[in-house]
Amino acid sequence: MTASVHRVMIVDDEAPILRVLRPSLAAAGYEVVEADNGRDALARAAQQIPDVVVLDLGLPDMDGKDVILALRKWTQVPIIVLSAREAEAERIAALDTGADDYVVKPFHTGELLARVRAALRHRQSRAELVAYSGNGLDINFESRRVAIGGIEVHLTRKEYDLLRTLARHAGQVVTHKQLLAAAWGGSVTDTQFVRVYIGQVRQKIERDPSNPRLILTEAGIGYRLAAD
Amino acid sequence: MTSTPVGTRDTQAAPPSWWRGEAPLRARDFFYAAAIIAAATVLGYFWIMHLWPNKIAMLFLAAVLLTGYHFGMWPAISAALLAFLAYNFFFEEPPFTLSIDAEDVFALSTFLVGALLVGGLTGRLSDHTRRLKRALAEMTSLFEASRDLSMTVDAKSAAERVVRHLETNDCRAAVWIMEDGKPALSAASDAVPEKDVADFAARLVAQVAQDEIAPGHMLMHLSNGAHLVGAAALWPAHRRGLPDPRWTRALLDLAAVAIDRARLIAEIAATRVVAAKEGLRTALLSSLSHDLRTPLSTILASVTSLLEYEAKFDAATRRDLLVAIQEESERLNRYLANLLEMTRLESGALQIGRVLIDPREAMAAALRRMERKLDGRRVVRLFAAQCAHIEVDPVLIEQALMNIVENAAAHAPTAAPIIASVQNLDAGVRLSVEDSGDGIAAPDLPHVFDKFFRGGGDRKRGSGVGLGLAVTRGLIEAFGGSVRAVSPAHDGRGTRIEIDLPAHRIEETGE
Repeated sequence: MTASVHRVMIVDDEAPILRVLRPSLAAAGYEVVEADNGRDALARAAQQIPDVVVLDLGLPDMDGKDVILALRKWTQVPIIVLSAREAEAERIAALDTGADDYVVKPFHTGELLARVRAALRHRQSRAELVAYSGNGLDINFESRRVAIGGIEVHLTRKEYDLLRTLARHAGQVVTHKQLLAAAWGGSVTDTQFVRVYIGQVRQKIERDPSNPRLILTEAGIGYRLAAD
Repeated sequence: MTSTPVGTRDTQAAPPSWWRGEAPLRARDFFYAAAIIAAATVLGYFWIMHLWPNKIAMLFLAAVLLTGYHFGMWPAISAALLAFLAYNFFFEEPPFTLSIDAEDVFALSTFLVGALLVGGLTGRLSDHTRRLKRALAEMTSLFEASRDLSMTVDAKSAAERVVRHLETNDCRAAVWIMEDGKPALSAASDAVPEKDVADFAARLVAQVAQDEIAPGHMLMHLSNGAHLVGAAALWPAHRRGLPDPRWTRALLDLAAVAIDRARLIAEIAATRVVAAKEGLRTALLSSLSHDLRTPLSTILASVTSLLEYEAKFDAATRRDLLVAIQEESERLNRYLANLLEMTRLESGALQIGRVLIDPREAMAAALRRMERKLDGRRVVRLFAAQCAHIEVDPVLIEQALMNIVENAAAHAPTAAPIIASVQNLDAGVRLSVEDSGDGIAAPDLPHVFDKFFRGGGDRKRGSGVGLGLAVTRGLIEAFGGSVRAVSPAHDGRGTRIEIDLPAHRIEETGE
């Protein structure tokens, strides 16, 4: 980062949404770049190099997924997609295409800002992350040690792989498919495996596995390690 | 096919026609034969005998041939006998006596051979003609039946038409159509034997698909090649007996096709209804998802922003967010009103009052109500000086008009005027609203009144659920009117939405 002010690009064809987010993001200390269609978004992203992109999937001129693909050709900028709750398949496709997170419409401004913060944090630490610490959970990626409330827990290799993947994207959603790839290397395609193993991890790290606070379920999409 | 090979009533089993002479023997033909011979006798006695007395036999031969040619073989033979008697009696020596010698036998033989040859030929010709006529009649009736049946789209009327065609061919008939594997008597002539009907129905229930041809009745099955679609029973109406089984089979095959097609049409229609409902549900869900949620997103984001950052916002920003909340709430309310109206229209729950109103007033009211939305645009009013009244619901017509005004306002550039016009038609009134926007792309034009349809421009603007025009159409059609979109409306630009409503009978002049 060259400047302390982060630049957030909002891509949405709804003028009223832009009208509301503009002052809110500004009040939260971000510089705002706006675009109301996909082509415009791609042009501005190239010129102004945003630190986070907030992308509405329902754009008038192109498919949101194509915008993600075009961005991913040259930048790893975090992309947070905005989509309707029931557009689950679309959301999964967006995440698998390269989006980092999503926020369901309608949303609280605070929720969107939390995701923006998580994305920025993740962007900074992605490369050099050697340990995770948050919500009483400590993971050392080098020694592969996991501790909850300072007490070490033993995880099987697959359980550890899943938790590590979630921790590396802490605060962001990780899809079933991404988790499968992380733990099984793509040899397994049945998401039921993920559900079973996540259940086992929860048994070991959650205070109340029936009411998980660390590994949150994103119904139909995947899981999210709670942000601090 | 379930038909069994059947014997025929035709000439195959009968003696050769030249012998049998299929034409019925009529007494008057014999009378004509006698008359011709009598005429020949008179002619010969008073005229020919004095000219060429030895050519009398030729005169009689000509008379016999003439008889054969006109009346067939048997009258000709009787003419030959008469000619022989007359020739012998009047012209041979001694006159006025019958005496037979070898020469007479020769003359008689000549007459008989002539009668047999010419009469037989004539009989065969007339038989042939008669057969052709009958074949033509059968073809014609089949053709008519096929044309008639091809116009039916429901099985019951197909059955009724079959019965009617059978009735015109001298029989009484009953037709069953299989419904869920059970025969249902779908059409029947008056006075069909009840016992037979019950008996045949029972046989159909038992799935005995065997055709039956008896002197007193005929039972034939209708099949589409794969399964039984029904059956028909025939009883003779007159002493003339039942129609030809092959003809009957052909007619009933046509009936089977018509009934089967009617069933398929009904099935396709039912499938379409299901698919349409499914499509509507999907469209409704995606509409609720994207369009109804959009104003809600703005509202929620505004409210949560205010809650979180109120202290950091200046007065103008706070006010702007509050205005956004108000506007989006109003927008949400409009969408919901249209959605509700559409639901009520479709479920038939919409109460439509009928009041005679002046269409110019309705248009003026709609324009007034949309003043804010029109945002200072110039509105050109082309209202007819005298205007027929329309019989509509005053509130709903206003909503229908507001929707098209809103549509125009959404598409027209702010500087360009909107043209609202109310004009008389021959039998109605046309209300139209025209904008100067980009117009509607030709492929979109047929769909602008579809539910949840939004043109490319709408998607860009992100406004509307695409219900406004659909609601307008629904309302206008409920009033017995029609609505269409014309684009480009003028100079390659703009869209004009035209609403035609029937004028009320009592024309009022002025206001």
